[in-house]
Amino acid sequence: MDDEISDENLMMNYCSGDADAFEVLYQRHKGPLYRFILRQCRQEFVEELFQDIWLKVINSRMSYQVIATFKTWLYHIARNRIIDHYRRQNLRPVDNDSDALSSISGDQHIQPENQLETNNQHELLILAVANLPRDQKEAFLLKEEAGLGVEEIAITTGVTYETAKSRLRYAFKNLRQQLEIIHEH
Amino acid sequence: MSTDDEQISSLYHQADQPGPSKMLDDAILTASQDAVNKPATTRGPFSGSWPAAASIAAVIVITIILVPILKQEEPQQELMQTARDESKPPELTGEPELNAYRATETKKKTMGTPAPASGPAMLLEEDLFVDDLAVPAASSISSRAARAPATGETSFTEKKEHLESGISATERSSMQAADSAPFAIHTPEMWEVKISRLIEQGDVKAAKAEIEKLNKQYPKYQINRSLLEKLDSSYE
Repeated sequence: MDDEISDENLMMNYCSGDADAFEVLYQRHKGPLYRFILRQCRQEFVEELFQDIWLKVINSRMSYQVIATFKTWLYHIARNRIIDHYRRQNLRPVDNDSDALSSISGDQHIQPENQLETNNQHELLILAVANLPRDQKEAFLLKEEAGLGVEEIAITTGVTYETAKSRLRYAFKNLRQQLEIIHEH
Repeated sequence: MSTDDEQISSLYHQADQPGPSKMLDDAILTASQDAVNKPATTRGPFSGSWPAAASIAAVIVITIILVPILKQEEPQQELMQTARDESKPPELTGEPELNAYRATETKKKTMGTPAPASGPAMLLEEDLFVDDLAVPAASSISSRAARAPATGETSFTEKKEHLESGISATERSSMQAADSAPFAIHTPEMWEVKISRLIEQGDVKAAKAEIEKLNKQYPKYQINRSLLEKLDSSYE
Protein backbone atom coordinates (compact mmCIF):
# COMPACT_ATOMS: atom_id res chain seq x y z
CA MET A 1 0.00 0.00 0.00
CA ASP A 2 2.91 2.28 0.83
CA ASP A 3 4.26 1.76 -2.66
CA GLU A 4 1.11 3.25 -4.12
CA ILE A 5 1.74 6.61 -2.55
CA SER A 6 4.27 8.75 -4.37
CA ASP A 7 7.29 10.18 -2.63
CA GLU A 8 5.96 13.69 -3.11
CA ASN A 9 2.64 12.85 -1.45
CA LEU A 10 4.40 11.17 1.42
CA MET A 11 6.54 14.24 1.90
CA MET A 12 3.48 16.48 1.79
CA ASN A 13 1.81 14.25 4.38
CA TYR A 14 4.85 14.54 6.58
CA CYS A 15 4.72 18.32 6.20
CA SER A 16 1.16 18.13 7.49
CA GLY A 17 2.35 16.31 10.62
CA ASP A 18 2.19 12.65 9.57
CA ALA A 19 5.34 11.14 11.04
CA ASP A 20 4.53 7.72 9.58
CA ALA A 21 4.76 9.16 6.07
CA PHE A 22 8.34 10.12 6.74
CA GLU A 23 9.14 6.62 7.92
CA VAL A 24 7.88 5.17 4.62
CA LEU A 25 9.98 7.68 2.72
CA TYR A 26 12.99 6.85 4.81
CA GLN A 27 12.62 3.13 4.31
CA ARG A 28 12.41 3.63 0.57
CA HIS A 29 15.49 5.78 0.20
CA LYS A 30 17.77 5.03 3.11
CA GLY A 31 19.75 2.21 1.39
CA PRO A 32 20.42 3.91 -1.94
CA LEU A 33 21.26 7.20 -0.27
CA TYR A 34 23.60 5.50 2.17
CA ARG A 35 25.47 3.78 -0.65
CA PHE A 36 25.52 6.97 -2.72
CA ILE A 37 27.48 8.54 0.11
CA LEU A 38 29.50 5.42 0.89
CA ARG A 39 30.86 5.11 -2.66
CA GLN A 40 32.10 8.70 -2.60
CA CYS A 41 33.36 9.33 0.91
CA ARG A 42 35.47 7.69 3.56
CA GLN A 43 33.63 5.27 5.83
CA GLU A 44 34.27 7.40 8.90
CA PHE A 45 32.22 10.30 7.51
CA VAL A 46 29.37 8.34 5.97
CA GLU A 47 27.05 8.11 8.95
CA GLU A 48 27.52 11.76 9.87
CA LEU A 49 26.74 12.87 6.33
CA PHE A 50 23.81 10.50 6.04
CA GLN A 51 22.27 11.87 9.25
CA ASP A 52 22.88 15.48 8.22
CA ILE A 53 21.11 14.95 4.91
CA TRP A 54 18.01 13.48 6.53
CA LEU A 55 17.94 16.21 9.17
CA LYS A 56 18.08 18.73 6.36
CA VAL A 57 15.03 17.04 4.84
CA ILE A 58 13.24 17.12 8.20
CA ASN A 59 14.02 20.77 8.82
CA SER A 60 13.05 21.77 5.30
CA ARG A 61 9.60 20.23 5.56
CA MET A 62 7.89 23.60 6.07
CA SER A 63 9.38 25.04 2.89
CA TYR A 64 9.03 21.94 0.76
CA GLN A 65 7.30 22.49 -2.55
CA VAL A 66 6.69 19.94 -5.26
CA ILE A 67 8.76 21.51 -8.02
CA ALA A 68 10.78 18.44 -8.95
CA THR A 69 10.56 14.83 -7.84
CA PHE A 70 11.37 14.05 -4.23
CA LYS A 71 14.30 11.93 -5.34
CA THR A 72 15.81 14.78 -7.32
CA TRP A 73 15.44 17.09 -4.33
CA LEU A 74 16.87 14.52 -1.89
CA TYR A 75 19.94 13.79 -4.00
CA HIS A 76 20.46 17.45 -4.70
CA ILE A 77 20.69 17.96 -0.94
CA ALA A 78 23.00 14.96 -0.64
CA ARG A 79 25.27 16.13 -3.43
CA ASN A 80 25.59 19.62 -1.92
CA ARG A 81 26.34 18.17 1.50
CA ILE A 82 29.07 15.96 0.08
CA ILE A 83 30.65 18.87 -1.79
CA ASP A 84 30.47 20.94 1.38
CA HIS A 85 32.16 18.10 3.23
CA TYR A 86 34.99 18.07 0.72
CA ARG A 87 35.42 21.81 1.08
CA ARG A 88 35.47 21.69 4.87
CA GLN A 89 37.94 18.86 4.90
CA ASN A 90 39.92 20.58 2.19
CA LEU A 91 39.89 17.28 0.40
CA ARG A 92 39.35 16.08 -3.05
CA PRO A 93 36.82 13.34 -3.50
CA VAL A 94 38.54 10.14 -2.56
CA ASP A 95 37.72 6.53 -2.85
CA ASN A 96 36.23 4.94 0.20
CA ASP A 97 38.19 1.72 0.07
CA SER A 98 41.57 3.30 -0.14
CA ASP A 99 43.41 0.28 1.25
CA ALA A 100 42.05 -1.98 -1.39
CA LEU A 101 42.47 0.64 -4.07
CA SER A 102 46.08 1.21 -3.14
CA SER A 103 46.72 -2.02 -4.96
CA ILE A 104 45.19 -0.59 -8.09
CA SER A 105 47.51 1.30 -10.40
CA GLY A 106 47.17 4.98 -10.87
CA ASP A 107 46.33 4.69 -14.54
CA GLN A 108 42.85 3.55 -13.62
CA HIS A 109 43.52 -0.07 -14.48
CA ILE A 110 43.27 -2.97 -12.10
CA GLN A 111 46.52 -4.84 -12.06
CA PRO A 112 46.30 -8.54 -12.96
CA GLU A 113 48.21 -9.57 -9.83
CA ASN A 114 45.28 -8.39 -7.75
CA GLN A 115 42.85 -10.57 -9.55
CA LEU A 116 43.47 -13.46 -7.23
CA GLU A 117 42.73 -11.30 -4.28
CA THR A 118 39.44 -10.07 -5.77
CA ASN A 119 37.90 -13.12 -7.21
CA ASN A 120 34.46 -11.87 -6.73
CA GLN A 121 33.35 -9.84 -9.72
CA HIS A 122 31.08 -7.77 -7.63
CA GLU A 123 33.92 -6.58 -5.49
CA LEU A 124 35.93 -5.80 -8.58
CA LEU A 125 33.13 -3.72 -9.94
CA ILE A 126 32.82 -1.79 -6.68
CA LEU A 127 36.54 -1.14 -6.79
CA ALA A 128 36.24 -0.03 -10.38
CA VAL A 129 33.44 2.34 -9.49
CA ALA A 130 35.50 3.78 -6.68
CA ASN A 131 38.25 4.40 -9.16
CA LEU A 132 36.09 6.43 -11.55
CA PRO A 133 36.56 10.18 -11.94
CA ARG A 134 34.30 12.06 -9.56
CA ASP A 135 31.78 13.41 -12.09
CA GLN A 136 31.45 10.02 -13.79
CA LYS A 137 31.15 8.22 -10.48
CA GLU A 138 28.47 10.64 -9.37
CA ALA A 139 26.48 10.18 -12.56
CA PHE A 140 26.84 6.40 -12.34
CA LEU A 141 25.69 6.27 -8.71
CA LEU A 142 22.75 8.56 -9.38
CA LYS A 143 21.65 6.20 -12.09
CA GLU A 144 22.29 2.91 -10.32
CA GLU A 145 21.52 3.78 -6.73
CA ALA A 146 18.94 6.58 -6.97
CA GLY A 147 17.44 5.25 -10.14
CA LEU A 148 17.47 8.65 -11.83
CA GLY A 149 17.22 9.12 -15.56
CA VAL A 150 19.62 11.24 -17.57
CA GLU A 151 17.39 14.27 -17.36
CA GLU A 152 17.05 13.97 -13.59
CA ILE A 153 20.80 13.48 -13.24
CA ALA A 154 21.25 16.69 -15.19
CA ILE A 155 18.86 18.55 -12.90
CA THR A 156 20.42 17.12 -9.74
CA THR A 157 23.98 17.89 -10.73
CA GLY A 158 23.13 21.21 -12.38
CA VAL A 159 24.48 20.38 -15.79
CA THR A 160 22.97 20.09 -19.23
CA TYR A 161 21.32 16.95 -20.42
CA GLU A 162 24.13 16.29 -22.88
CA THR A 163 26.79 16.67 -20.22
CA ALA A 164 24.99 14.30 -17.92
CA LYS A 165 24.55 11.79 -20.73
CA SER A 166 28.21 12.09 -21.69
CA ARG A 167 29.39 11.56 -18.09
CA LEU A 168 27.25 8.49 -17.78
CA ARG A 169 28.53 7.06 -21.05
CA TYR A 170 32.16 7.59 -20.05
CA ALA A 171 31.50 6.05 -16.65
CA PHE A 172 30.23 2.81 -18.21
CA LYS A 173 33.02 2.81 -20.73
CA ASN A 174 35.60 3.15 -17.99
CA LEU A 175 34.08 0.37 -15.92
CA ARG A 176 33.90 -1.90 -18.95
CA GLN A 177 37.52 -1.28 -19.82
CA GLN A 178 38.64 -2.02 -16.29
CA LEU A 179 36.65 -5.20 -16.11
CA GLU A 180 37.83 -6.32 -19.60
CA ILE A 181 41.42 -5.90 -18.57
CA ILE A 182 40.79 -8.12 -15.59
CA HIS A 183 39.14 -10.72 -17.74
CA GLU A 184 41.97 -10.61 -20.30
CA HIS A 185 44.40 -11.45 -17.55
CA MET B 1 22.05 1.58 -23.08
CA SER B 2 24.03 -1.23 -24.58
CA THR B 3 23.99 -4.81 -23.40
CA ASP B 4 27.35 -4.35 -21.75
CA ASP B 5 26.00 -1.46 -19.74
CA GLU B 6 23.03 -3.55 -18.62
CA GLN B 7 25.38 -6.30 -17.53
CA ILE B 8 27.43 -3.85 -15.52
CA SER B 9 24.25 -2.50 -13.89
CA SER B 10 23.11 -5.98 -13.07
CA LEU B 11 26.50 -6.92 -11.70
CA TYR B 12 26.58 -3.77 -9.59
CA HIS B 13 23.24 -4.57 -7.94
CA GLN B 14 24.37 -8.11 -7.19
CA ALA B 15 27.12 -6.75 -5.04
CA ASP B 16 26.73 -6.20 -1.32
CA GLN B 17 24.13 -3.58 -0.49
CA PRO B 18 25.24 -2.02 2.76
CA GLY B 19 22.81 0.25 4.62
CA PRO B 20 22.68 2.42 7.69
CA SER B 21 22.81 0.84 11.12
CA LYS B 22 19.70 0.30 13.21
CA MET B 23 20.89 2.93 15.66
CA LEU B 24 21.19 5.49 12.88
CA ASP B 25 17.71 4.59 11.63
CA ASP B 26 16.25 5.11 15.10
CA ALA B 27 18.01 8.44 15.58
CA ILE B 28 16.69 9.83 12.30
CA LEU B 29 13.16 8.55 12.80
CA THR B 30 13.08 9.94 16.34
CA ALA B 31 14.25 13.30 15.03
CA SER B 32 11.50 13.27 12.42
CA GLN B 33 8.85 12.53 15.06
CA ASP B 34 10.17 15.19 17.42
CA ALA B 35 10.07 17.75 14.63
CA VAL B 36 6.41 17.00 14.01
CA ASN B 37 5.46 16.98 17.70
CA LYS B 38 7.27 20.26 18.35
CA PRO B 39 6.39 22.65 15.54
CA ALA B 40 9.26 24.76 14.35
CA THR B 41 9.17 28.20 15.87
CA THR B 42 11.21 31.11 14.71
CA ARG B 43 13.37 32.22 17.54
CA GLY B 44 13.64 35.98 17.74
CA PRO B 45 16.67 37.80 19.09
CA PHE B 46 14.85 38.41 22.39
CA SER B 47 13.69 34.84 22.87
CA GLY B 48 15.52 32.38 25.07
CA SER B 49 16.76 32.77 28.59
CA TRP B 50 19.44 35.43 28.14
CA PRO B 51 17.22 38.45 28.98
CA ALA B 52 16.49 36.99 32.41
CA ALA B 53 20.16 36.25 33.02
CA ALA B 54 21.12 39.75 31.85
CA SER B 55 18.53 41.32 34.16
CA ILE B 56 19.82 39.42 37.17
CA ALA B 57 23.39 40.39 36.35
CA ALA B 58 22.38 44.05 35.99
CA VAL B 59 20.60 44.06 39.35
CA ILE B 60 23.63 42.52 41.06
CA VAL B 61 26.01 45.03 39.48
CA ILE B 62 23.79 47.99 40.38
CA THR B 63 23.41 46.74 43.94
CA ILE B 64 27.14 46.29 44.36
CA ILE B 65 27.87 49.76 42.99
CA LEU B 66 25.04 51.79 44.48
CA VAL B 67 24.68 50.42 48.01
CA PRO B 68 28.07 51.69 49.30
CA ILE B 69 27.48 55.06 47.61
CA LEU B 70 24.05 55.39 49.20
CA LYS B 71 25.43 54.44 52.60
CA GLN B 72 28.07 57.15 52.29
CA GLU B 73 25.52 59.77 51.33
CA GLU B 74 22.95 58.87 54.02
CA PRO B 75 24.32 61.09 56.85
CA GLN B 76 24.69 64.02 54.45
CA GLN B 77 21.11 63.61 53.33
CA GLU B 78 19.88 63.59 56.92
CA LEU B 79 21.70 66.84 57.60
CA MET B 80 20.34 68.38 54.42
CA GLN B 81 16.82 67.27 55.34
CA THR B 82 17.08 68.81 58.78
CA ALA B 83 18.30 72.10 57.36
CA ARG B 84 15.52 72.03 54.78
CA ASP B 85 12.86 71.43 57.43
CA GLU B 86 14.14 74.34 59.49
CA SER B 87 14.09 76.75 56.60
CA LYS B 88 10.83 75.45 55.20
CA PRO B 89 7.83 77.77 55.52
CA PRO B 90 4.61 76.40 57.02
CA GLU B 91 2.49 74.52 54.59
CA LEU B 92 -0.30 76.73 53.41
CA THR B 93 -2.92 75.20 51.27
CA GLY B 94 -5.72 77.75 51.10
CA GLU B 95 -5.63 81.29 49.73
CA PRO B 96 -6.76 82.91 53.02
CA GLU B 97 -4.03 81.16 54.93
CA LEU B 98 -1.48 82.26 52.38
CA ASN B 99 -2.60 85.87 52.66
CA ALA B 100 -2.46 85.72 56.46
CA TYR B 101 1.03 84.31 56.33
CA ARG B 102 2.14 87.06 53.95
CA ALA B 103 0.61 89.70 56.22
CA THR B 104 2.45 88.29 59.24
CA GLU B 105 5.70 88.24 57.36
CA THR B 106 5.18 91.86 56.30
CA LYS B 107 4.39 92.84 59.88
CA LYS B 108 7.53 91.13 61.13
CA LYS B 109 9.58 93.16 58.67
CA THR B 110 7.85 96.37 59.67
CA MET B 111 8.34 95.75 63.38
CA GLY B 112 11.80 94.37 62.97
CA THR B 113 11.16 91.49 65.32
CA PRO B 114 11.27 87.93 64.02
CA ALA B 115 9.60 86.56 67.18
CA PRO B 116 6.25 84.79 67.09
CA ALA B 117 2.94 86.64 67.23
CA SER B 118 2.54 86.44 70.99
CA GLY B 119 6.16 87.51 71.57
CA PRO B 120 6.05 91.12 70.37
CA ALA B 121 2.89 91.89 72.29
CA MET B 122 4.38 90.59 75.50
CA LEU B 123 7.60 92.49 75.02
CA LEU B 124 5.81 95.69 74.18
CA GLU B 125 3.67 95.40 77.23
CA GLU B 126 6.75 94.81 79.35
CA ASP B 127 8.47 97.82 77.77
CA LEU B 128 5.39 99.80 78.40
CA PHE B 129 5.68 99.32 82.11
CA VAL B 130 9.40 99.08 82.48
CA ASP B 131 9.64 102.56 84.07
CA ASP B 132 6.75 101.73 86.23
CA LEU B 133 8.53 98.67 87.52
CA ALA B 134 11.46 100.81 88.57
CA VAL B 135 9.22 102.53 91.06
CA PRO B 136 9.41 100.97 94.53
CA ALA B 137 6.83 98.31 94.95
CA ALA B 138 5.44 99.90 98.06
CA SER B 139 4.29 103.00 96.22
CA SER B 140 0.76 102.77 95.00
CA ILE B 141 -0.51 103.79 91.63
CA SER B 142 -2.62 106.45 93.07
CA SER B 143 0.24 107.89 95.07
CA ARG B 144 2.34 107.73 92.00
CA ALA B 145 -0.23 109.62 90.09
CA ALA B 146 -0.43 112.18 92.85
CA ARG B 147 3.31 112.42 93.23
CA ALA B 148 4.00 112.92 89.59
CA PRO B 149 3.24 116.57 89.25
CA ALA B 150 5.33 117.34 92.32
CA THR B 151 8.34 115.48 91.08
CA GLY B 152 7.91 116.66 87.54
CA GLU B 153 7.61 113.14 86.31
CA THR B 154 5.07 112.26 83.71
CA SER B 155 2.20 110.33 85.12
CA PHE B 156 1.63 106.68 84.30
CA THR B 157 -1.44 107.46 82.23
CA GLU B 158 0.33 110.25 80.42
CA LYS B 159 3.29 108.07 79.76
CA LYS B 160 1.10 105.31 78.54
CA GLU B 161 -0.83 107.61 76.29
CA HIS B 162 2.43 109.07 75.02
CA LEU B 163 3.80 105.68 74.26
CA GLU B 164 0.60 104.46 72.75
CA SER B 165 0.39 107.51 70.53
CA GLY B 166 3.74 106.51 69.04
CA ILE B 167 2.49 103.04 68.29
CA SER B 168 0.76 102.42 65.07
CA ALA B 169 -2.80 101.15 64.95
CA THR B 170 -1.60 97.81 63.70
CA GLU B 171 0.79 97.39 66.56
CA ARG B 172 -1.89 98.44 69.02
CA SER B 173 -4.34 95.88 67.75
CA SER B 174 -1.63 93.31 68.01
CA MET B 175 -0.99 94.28 71.61
CA GLN B 176 -4.64 94.06 72.43
CA ALA B 177 -4.86 90.68 70.84
CA ALA B 178 -1.93 89.53 72.90
CA ASP B 179 -3.43 90.94 76.02
CA SER B 180 -6.62 89.03 75.52
CA ALA B 181 -4.85 85.89 74.54
CA PRO B 182 -5.13 83.11 77.07
CA PHE B 183 -1.44 82.35 76.85
CA ALA B 184 -0.33 85.95 77.54
CA ILE B 185 2.25 86.04 80.29
CA HIS B 186 1.92 88.72 82.98
CA THR B 187 4.46 89.87 85.44
CA PRO B 188 3.14 90.56 88.97
CA GLU B 189 3.42 94.29 88.37
CA MET B 190 1.44 94.02 85.14
CA TRP B 191 -1.14 92.04 87.00
CA GLU B 192 -1.42 94.79 89.64
CA VAL B 193 -1.99 97.34 86.92
CA LYS B 194 -4.69 95.21 85.43
CA ILE B 195 -6.34 94.74 88.87
CA SER B 196 -6.18 98.45 89.52
CA ARG B 197 -7.88 99.08 86.19
CA LEU B 198 -10.64 96.64 87.05
CA ILE B 199 -11.20 98.30 90.44
CA GLU B 200 -11.42 101.69 88.77
CA GLN B 201 -13.97 100.29 86.35
CA GLY B 202 -15.95 98.96 89.32
CA ASP B 203 -15.56 95.30 88.42
CA VAL B 204 -14.62 94.20 91.89
CA LYS B 205 -15.32 90.53 91.34
CA ALA B 206 -12.99 90.34 88.40
CA ALA B 207 -10.37 92.27 90.31
CA LYS B 208 -10.60 89.84 93.21
CA ALA B 209 -10.37 86.90 90.82
CA GLU B 210 -7.25 88.40 89.28
CA ILE B 211 -5.72 88.83 92.74
CA GLU B 212 -6.38 85.16 93.44
CA LYS B 213 -4.76 84.24 90.16
CA LEU B 214 -1.80 86.44 90.95
CA ASN B 215 -1.40 84.83 94.37
CA LYS B 216 -1.63 81.43 92.81
CA GLN B 217 0.92 82.24 90.09
CA TYR B 218 3.32 84.16 92.31
CA PRO B 219 2.73 82.86 95.88
CA LYS B 220 5.73 84.70 97.31
CA TYR B 221 4.94 88.02 95.71
CA GLN B 222 3.77 90.76 98.10
CA ILE B 223 0.80 92.50 96.50
CA ASN B 224 0.75 96.24 96.82
CA ARG B 225 -1.04 97.06 100.05
CA SER B 226 -2.68 100.20 98.63
CA LEU B 227 -4.19 98.08 95.90
CA LEU B 228 -5.76 95.82 98.47
CA GLU B 229 -7.02 98.82 100.43
CA LYS B 230 -8.49 100.21 97.25
CA LEU B 231 -10.26 96.89 96.67
CA ASP B 232 -11.59 96.89 100.23
CA SER B 233 -12.90 100.41 99.88
CA SER B 234 -14.61 99.41 96.67
CA TYR B 235 -16.43 96.68 98.54
CA GLU B 236 -17.72 99.18 100.98
